[in-house]
Amino acid sequence: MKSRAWILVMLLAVTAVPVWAATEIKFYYPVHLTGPLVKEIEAYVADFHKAHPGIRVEPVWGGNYWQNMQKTVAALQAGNPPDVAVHLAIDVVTLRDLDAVIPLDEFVQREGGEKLLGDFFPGFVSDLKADGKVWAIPFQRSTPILYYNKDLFRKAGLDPNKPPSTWEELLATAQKATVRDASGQATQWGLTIPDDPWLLMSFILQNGGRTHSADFKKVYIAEKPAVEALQFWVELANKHKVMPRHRTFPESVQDFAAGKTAMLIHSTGNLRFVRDSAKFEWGAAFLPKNKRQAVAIGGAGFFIFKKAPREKQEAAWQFTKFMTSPEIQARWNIGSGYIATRKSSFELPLMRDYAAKLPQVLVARDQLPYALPEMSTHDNQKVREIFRTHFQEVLDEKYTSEEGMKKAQAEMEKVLAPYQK
Amino acid sequence: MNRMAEPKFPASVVTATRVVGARERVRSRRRVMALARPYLYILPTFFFLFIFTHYPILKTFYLSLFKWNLATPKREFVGLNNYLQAGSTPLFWQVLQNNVLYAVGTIPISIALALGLALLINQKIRGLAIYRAALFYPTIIPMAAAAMIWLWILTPSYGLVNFYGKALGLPDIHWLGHSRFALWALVLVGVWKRLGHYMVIFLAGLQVIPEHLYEAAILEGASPWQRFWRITFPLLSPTTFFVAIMAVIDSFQVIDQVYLMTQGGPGNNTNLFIFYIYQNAFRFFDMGYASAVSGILFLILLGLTVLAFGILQRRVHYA
Repeated sequence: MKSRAWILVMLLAVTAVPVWAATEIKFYYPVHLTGPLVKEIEAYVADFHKAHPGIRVEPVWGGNYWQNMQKTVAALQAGNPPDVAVHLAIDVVTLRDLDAVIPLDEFVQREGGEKLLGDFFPGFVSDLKADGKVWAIPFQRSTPILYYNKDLFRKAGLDPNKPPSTWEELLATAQKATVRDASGQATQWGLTIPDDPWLLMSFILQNGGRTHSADFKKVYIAEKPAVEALQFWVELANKHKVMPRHRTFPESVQDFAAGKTAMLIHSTGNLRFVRDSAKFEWGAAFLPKNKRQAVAIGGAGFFIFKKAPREKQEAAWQFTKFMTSPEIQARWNIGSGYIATRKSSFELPLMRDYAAKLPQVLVARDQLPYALPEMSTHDNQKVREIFRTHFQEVLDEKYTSEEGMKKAQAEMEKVLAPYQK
Repeated sequence: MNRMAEPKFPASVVTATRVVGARERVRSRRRVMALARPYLYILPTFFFLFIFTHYPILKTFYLSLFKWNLATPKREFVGLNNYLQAGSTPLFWQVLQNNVLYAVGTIPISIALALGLALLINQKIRGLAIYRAALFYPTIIPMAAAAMIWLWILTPSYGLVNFYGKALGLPDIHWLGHSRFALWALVLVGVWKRLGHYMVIFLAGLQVIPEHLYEAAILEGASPWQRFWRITFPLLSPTTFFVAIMAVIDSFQVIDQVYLMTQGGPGNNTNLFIFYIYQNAFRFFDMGYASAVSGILFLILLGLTVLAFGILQRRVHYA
């Protein structure tokens, strides 16, 4: 009993001793691969403390992207939002609808304006802008890339240095790399893609289609290029049977690491996992093109909150600047696979050495000129969920591609109706 | 004229009245105290129950009358509109149907199995503690951990079920990602998870049935079958009744499983009530609609419980 009381006193003492005169800021962030990536972020925070003894950052891990968003919105409703947080680029709309964040142009100007922004890859900056203002600084950005198992390519008689570069080649390669048992069931898939709208978007863009309007009020998923892209996907799974119908993000990357699929289309954010767990020779390539070369960007940025007092906003900016610096971005790319958001990161010796050892990391960067924003609308979570469920129901043959997308389009329009002013 | 003499009470009477009045007062104060005491006793419990249960229920019904979402950040009174919206949303009906299927799948099987196992381990056999612990243990491990284990067991291609299934010549099935099987995979895990809990309640019920009834029955030459149906089952009925109500409520309140194992997918094939409410409230921030669906769920559970009391309780024997 006594010792327990002592522990309590000690705990109180440890937690109650403030770092005098330090500005404390609360930082919410999401990462998918919990263990290693949380440690990575905490290491950056520790380095930040060394460089800025006047600021204390309290990092709060919020789960995955939308769980983190949920946390922030709940905190907003309780009147106690974080001072700085990492949220998806597509959450710009929602965070502005909630009047939760401030534009960062003033800070950006102070650091040289275009000189600062010009060092970020343009695709990463453009989707964090709205109404001509900058709402977040790019961080934890990704695109899908094609991972492929060179050993399985060789076994199938395919050239391990020639990954498919068009839709037709993708289908042909997947057909050759699919292995079936006597009953015709696939024991090894040619291709695996998580059945998530984010990945379907890339196919829609490759087919010359579009997903949403620049004012975030309209969607175009029932247009011909979108329906055709979905149809191509559905046929890969249901007609040619070279791809499983449903796989989640974690399942599909595990399948690839276990050698159960010859090709995988997945986020660059999983490159570290593939690097550490694949016991075979693997390659990375651009997504195959159809009418054009294209890919949907995913990922996030650093937002600073309106409710924070001025001095905390200043501290939050210092932290944002640090976390999006070329050096930290290079470390984050190496540690996670998320693309370093700054061009100069790739000039650092650290990054050059890494790329010399693992040239696959450069694929995502080189694909960036073809990257376009992912679908972004008002009430984004609702719209995205409508997209996901209808997409999966089409895969389950509940509807044809056209019916499914028409239904989804109609439901999305219902959600977006209040915003059409 | 003489002034009318004022009536005068003797002093003793006056004092007596006063004393009686005081006594009356004391007595009535005691009576009040006696009446208030039980309420004072339940006050602390009621206080917490009110804050954490009754008040939120009332508030939910109140909020369900408002439109309050991302498109309408300042809430707006809309009467019963949210309820009408639920009624005209096909997904709401699909969720209801999914949940009824889940309930039909889990309740009878888990009750029957729990009772059977309770009967088995109520006997004097060697290693009893081990059996009891083994059967109870799914109840102890948190659903989060259990879900991870089951995700792994049900993984396509190299998960345990498919690995051994393939050896037996069964097709490779993606249990949790299949539009037809995903819900039944959740049912399986639900039964597995709750079985131990119900079994322990049955076991407790079995152990209060007086031994002499069985001795008498054996003397009369009753078969084990007769002993079960004539003694055990009727005398166990209060327990069965309790377990049945628990099972109904449990099966409409499941969320952790859905959240961890399927996220409602594929499509909306495993979207169940609480998950649907959760999605609307905390992912879509559509509080008014989520409150209305919560209200509907509350009424459904209340209705089922009242129905159960009405129908089943007449058959319950309290020994």
